[in-house]
Amino acid sequence: MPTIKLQSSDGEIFDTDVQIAKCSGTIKTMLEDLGMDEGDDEVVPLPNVNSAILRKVLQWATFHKDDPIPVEDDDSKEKRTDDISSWDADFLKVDQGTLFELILAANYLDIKGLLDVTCKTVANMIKGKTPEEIRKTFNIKNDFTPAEEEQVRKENEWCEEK
Amino acid sequence: MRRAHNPCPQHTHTFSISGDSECCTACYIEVDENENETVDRSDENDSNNDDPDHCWTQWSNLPDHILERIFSHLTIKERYYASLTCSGWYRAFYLPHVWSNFLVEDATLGRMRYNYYSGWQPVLDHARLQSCLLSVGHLIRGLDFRPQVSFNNMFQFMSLISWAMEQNARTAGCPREWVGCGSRIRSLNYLFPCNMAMSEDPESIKLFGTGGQLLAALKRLMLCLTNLHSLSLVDLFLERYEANHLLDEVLESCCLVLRRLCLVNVTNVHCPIMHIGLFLNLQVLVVSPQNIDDDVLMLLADSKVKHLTLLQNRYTPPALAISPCSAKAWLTVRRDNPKLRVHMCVESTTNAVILLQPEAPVASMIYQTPKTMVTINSRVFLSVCVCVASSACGSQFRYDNAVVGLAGIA
Repeated sequence: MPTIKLQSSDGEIFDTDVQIAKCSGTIKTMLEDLGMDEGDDEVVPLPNVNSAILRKVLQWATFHKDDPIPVEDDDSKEKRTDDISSWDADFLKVDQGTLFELILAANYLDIKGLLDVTCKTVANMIKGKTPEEIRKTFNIKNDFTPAEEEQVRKENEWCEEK
Repeated sequence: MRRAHNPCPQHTHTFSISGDSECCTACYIEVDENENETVDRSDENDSNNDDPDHCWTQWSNLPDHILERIFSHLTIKERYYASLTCSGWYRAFYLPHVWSNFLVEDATLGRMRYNYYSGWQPVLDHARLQSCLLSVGHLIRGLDFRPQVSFNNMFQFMSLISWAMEQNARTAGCPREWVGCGSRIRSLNYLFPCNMAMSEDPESIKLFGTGGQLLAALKRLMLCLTNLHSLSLVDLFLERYEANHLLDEVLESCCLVLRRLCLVNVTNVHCPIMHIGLFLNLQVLVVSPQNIDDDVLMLLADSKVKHLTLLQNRYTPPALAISPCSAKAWLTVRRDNPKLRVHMCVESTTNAVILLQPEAPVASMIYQTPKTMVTINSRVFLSVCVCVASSACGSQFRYDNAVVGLAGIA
């Protein structure tokens, strides 16, 4: 099985099956554009991803390596968040910092399936919470002035049942 | 306060990565900076008056397209609540893809009202709907109607958005606040809840079709939508005279642009819909077998349709009650439109069978039925049509497809 070497931001080398590495659109493009051949001993640097996150990402990609290629987003498609597989749900039982970094890594590495499921997980964490609870959950700073806060609350009042 | 003044996150360009190494370098640096920010607490804390030791997270600064993805999974109210948390997420509320698919259900933008006969019912709140359309109406790219019982709400919703779009089409000019409302809509889905069986007896199926004022409102809306790429009308169960005119408006406004058309169970009886063969750039067509005949096939033979799915769902009359198109017509389709692939699909909870179409260029058969056994007949038919498909396009993929279809029920 042909492998390539991926190097995380903190210098760790991951020997990875090419097929799994190519889940990542970014790595796939790099390999194709740079004309890297399998068996070359070259190392693909991934300076945006640290070893802990890269390990998680590769774990996800290994489990999902036989998934069909995801189709382009369809506007008319129904948006669901209750269709996360149990494996993914277990996989994403991580602290928030890790979830955040997984999203950025999926974005940087261009792995649509992982980006999808992580975004859904975040959406599920928002659901059913008040603004204050959401801030607490994600540890987000309220950067509105009281006047601004009042204004934005009024602006889209229609979203809420009176 | 760096974040508030620079709401556009630094790593927005991360996804523009190509093979260009310079671009990559640029974004490595930017995200590194971002990581430093998380680690570098003292810098963050300058702006935090309440609690100088608190370390805030970067969730508010996610790239736009990720926030869009997250927000698009939320309901309207949840989006609102999320938008109230911080300025970054407030901005995200108005990102176009958040509103790309607008789902209209019974309780959407409604208020509960007590009705003497049926108890508490959601009633569409016109003030809310109007504010909604004024606020995000120009962003909506798809409308998805899923009524359950409150048909009047659907009617009101369709009427108001049609009115807004009609204002935009007026030569005399449109009220400024309504400019652009609905102008981006490219897809329309309408799923009619045709099964009105009582809940005490879920096994029974009581079919009711739509029509009358509700159909008129739908047609008015379809006339306003001049840029529809995808249209899906499911389980309308119309009378014949209504079905014959269902697509008059769509054909008038979207003859050139429509790419995908899904018409499931327009009628309960045999009633070919000629219109479906007249869209010049249609690529994907999903239709129930009772709504096509040899004449429709002749039109499709001269069309650009590449995928024709013959869908029988649980409300479609049983295969025995529908007659297939003639072999001669299918042979003409194969001759004149060699790229056309037929997919046969049955969705049912009972023992349903696919209506076989002799000589059709079938590429796949999908049984979404837990109880159906594949008969020897359809197996023979399948092997024949698989041969047709693989010899026609020379691809193994079709064959796999068919096998998957079989494996699902084995």
